[in-house]
Amino acid sequence: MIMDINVNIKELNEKIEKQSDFVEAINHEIGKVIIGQKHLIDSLLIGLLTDGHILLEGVPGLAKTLAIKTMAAVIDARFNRIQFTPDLLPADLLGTMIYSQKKEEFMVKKGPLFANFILADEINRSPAKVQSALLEAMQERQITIGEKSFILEDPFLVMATQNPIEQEGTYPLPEAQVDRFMLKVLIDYPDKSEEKLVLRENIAKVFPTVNAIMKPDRIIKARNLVKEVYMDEKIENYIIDIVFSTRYPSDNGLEKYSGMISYGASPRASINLALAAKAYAFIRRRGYVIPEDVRAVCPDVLRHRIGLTYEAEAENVRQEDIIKDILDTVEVP
Amino acid sequence: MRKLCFIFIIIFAEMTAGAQDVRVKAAVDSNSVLIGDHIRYSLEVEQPADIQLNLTEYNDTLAENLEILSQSPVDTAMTDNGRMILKKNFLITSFDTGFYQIPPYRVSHKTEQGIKNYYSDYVPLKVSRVNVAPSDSTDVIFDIVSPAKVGYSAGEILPWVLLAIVLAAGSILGYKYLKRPKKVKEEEKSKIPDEPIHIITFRELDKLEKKKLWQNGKVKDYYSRLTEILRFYLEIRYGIKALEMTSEEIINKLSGEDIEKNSFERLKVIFRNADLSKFARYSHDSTTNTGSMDDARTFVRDTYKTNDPDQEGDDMKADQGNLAEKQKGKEDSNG
Repeated sequence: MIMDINVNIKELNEKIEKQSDFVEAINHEIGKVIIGQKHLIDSLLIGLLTDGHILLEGVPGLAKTLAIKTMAAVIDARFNRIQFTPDLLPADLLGTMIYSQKKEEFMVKKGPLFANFILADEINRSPAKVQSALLEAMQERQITIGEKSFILEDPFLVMATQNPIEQEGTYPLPEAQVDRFMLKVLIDYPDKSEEKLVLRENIAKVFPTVNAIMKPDRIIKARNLVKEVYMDEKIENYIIDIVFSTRYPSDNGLEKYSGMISYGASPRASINLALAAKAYAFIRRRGYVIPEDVRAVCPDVLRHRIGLTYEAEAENVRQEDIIKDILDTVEVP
Repeated sequence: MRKLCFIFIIIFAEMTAGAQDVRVKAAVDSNSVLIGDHIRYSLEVEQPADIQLNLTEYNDTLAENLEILSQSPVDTAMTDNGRMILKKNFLITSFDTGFYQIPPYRVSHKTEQGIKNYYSDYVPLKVSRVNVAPSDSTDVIFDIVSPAKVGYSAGEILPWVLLAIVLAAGSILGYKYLKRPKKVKEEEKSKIPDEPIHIITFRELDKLEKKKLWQNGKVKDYYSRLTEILRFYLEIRYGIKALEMTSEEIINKLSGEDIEKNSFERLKVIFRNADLSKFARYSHDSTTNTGSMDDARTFVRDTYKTNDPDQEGDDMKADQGNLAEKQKGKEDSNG
């Protein structure tokens, strides 16, 4: 009964439905190894499809490493894990020049950042110069060693983790650098049924293996398709309303937060919210964005982009509370 | 005769020597002073005008426990008999009680025969303490006398009284100000039409139908308004924040409510069609468009029938009033 006046949307919808079939295949393969953590897998896919990076926060032992490692295996991409320590140097990440006695010249020894998937474990354990080296590589997508510059292979996804329970001896990421991460994902413990499955698999020592079901090129193609996902002006306005509510809460009926937000979300937040919503619609195999998509990605996009005042900290107000109230207050189109 | 001559020479020499005589006099204003009092110690030296005397100089102490506070320059004066008088004053004090002897002041004269010294007399000085001993006993120790209490003056009390009056007036005004909005609310309440929500919804749906939006190609506006009216209805009818919820959230929320299956399915279809039109630029055919309007009416009719009569209280009416205001605002903004 639906009569189409704009063929492009219908065609796009059909194309996306067809082209996004790999999402289910990925979920299926990863599901063999990872029990639960659906949100983490979705976030990884959003990061991959939008060329963004992910900051992950969660206590140890929640399969963070396994998730990204499995994702890399499924799409046949190179994966490296870097454990950040206080004595790590930028050259340990980027690489360095070493002297070859045989050739009698300096040669480039590439560092672990030369991979498709990087797990920067406990990024806040290293001092600022190492964090900067990583964040620059994330931003520029290239690394310079000596006089040579190397373009990093696409897809390039960094998943940095922070351990929220230990703060001593850490170097917290500055706000400006945290803003470079597209998503900040909080992962929680599995539920009882999921944990029971984890328990059984580990006791039985039966660990399923995953197959590489696609090549990284497919992700690159899918990225172009994600950009085409239709976003109506109403959705754009909805995104702007949400972001503006973080900056001027009292203008949107949230007077209680007027003294609690030291800085609101940046324009980069609006861009990333739109991109992530498009990617989420793609994952749901839809050719257009609906408010549900925006709401689904909103906490991950905004939580690290809202600064809290001392007053908010004293009142135990978290970014999550503010975002939830904003979503409950801003009228849905 | 030789003996007589010797005596004469001696007497003449003595007389000549008397003419060369230097006299030094020292005195104080009073020989008995209180501790710390200032006393003037005056010197007077009488000498022949043709000789040069050396006066002893003191810096800050005249003798032990006798301190010099200041001293004047030497003043000279000539007498009628051709002699010269030198005068000098010292202002002295003592901070220790006792009897003192101010030592003789020395002046010297250098002659061919050698240095000749002349001295003043000793000057006695008694320094005594102030008699502060209590009249009854010298052993009694008295406490420090506390400050005397002075009564409050009117000038001191008046600012506080004024402040109290200002605070009391402020409190009364504040109380009245806080009371004021309530009164306004009461007035607003009285203006609220005494209508149930389904009547308002039906009327809004009729208005929308008459606008013939989808017939004029404004399908998106048509569905936007239709879902708005329905959300207003759901917000009041089921007490959910439907205006701030997505279609999926509304459906999920209502799935727990006691809604007939057909009505629920109707609502789902309306929202699905509306979402397609609003966010995916779909244009439904005329049957779907009119069907959505009919479905909306049927849904309201069906769900209103199952409405709990107990909810028709004041709160319900107040909510309806707010809804009516909101709808009016929406209409104004939509033009």
